[in-house]
Amino acid sequence: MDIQVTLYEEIARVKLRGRLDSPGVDQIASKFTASVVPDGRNTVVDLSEVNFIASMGLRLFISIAKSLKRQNARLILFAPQTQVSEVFNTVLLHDLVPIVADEAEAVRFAAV
Amino acid sequence: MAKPQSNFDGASSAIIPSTHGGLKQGLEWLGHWLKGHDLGTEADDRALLVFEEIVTNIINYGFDDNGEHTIQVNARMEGNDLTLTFDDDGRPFDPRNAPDYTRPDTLERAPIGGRGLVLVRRAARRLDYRRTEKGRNLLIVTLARG
Repeated sequence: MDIQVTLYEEIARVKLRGRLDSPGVDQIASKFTASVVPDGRNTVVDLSEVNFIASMGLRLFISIAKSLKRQNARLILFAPQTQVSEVFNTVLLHDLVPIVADEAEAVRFAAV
Repeated sequence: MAKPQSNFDGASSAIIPSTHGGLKQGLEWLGHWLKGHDLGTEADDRALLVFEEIVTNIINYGFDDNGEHTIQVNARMEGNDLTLTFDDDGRPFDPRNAPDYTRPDTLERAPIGGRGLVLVRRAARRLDYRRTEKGRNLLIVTLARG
């Protein structure tokens, strides 16, 4: 699992690559959280190269979204692949975290 | 590494420690087993998802003590089905009777966890569970192979 974080003035862009199973989450959770939560930035997450997610990945997203919410910031996910999208739909993640098609829409969402 | 035990009938089993390291070993074992059966990415991911959720549940909630425990896992092809069997000596737990996931009304009220069994129920064609005479949980998850 690989993570790349780019910080802009008001938005953090996080690119994830690989499998968000338990071992994958272990590899990136600390860096992901430390990169976006302390500053309370709106954060957009590129999932286009994440090909698998399990509940540990959901926990990570919900945990970060809750932390950002306490600072009036948002987590927005975009471009999920098929398996990831099916898992999101099964647990109704869109009730809690915005999930959009592409980066442009995610950035627009972050600016609202 | 998990201790693999291959049988002549095509089944394969392993014994893994009930730890997060054991989960990683188990995922590697199952991934290797799936690769040998060429079921396709969708079926592989379904099996790996169920395996991770069930084993995580056993590790996190199955035991009242800090002692060492193991989980016996088995994968088998039966006709159009792929079955995964989980055998552990944790407290009795029948996932078929677990409460349904409650839809939270706000992000603030949403629990961080508690979604793993929702994913298992969605992925599985059937769940069979019994508490054995030896005081072990025996859970059999049946999945479509394709």
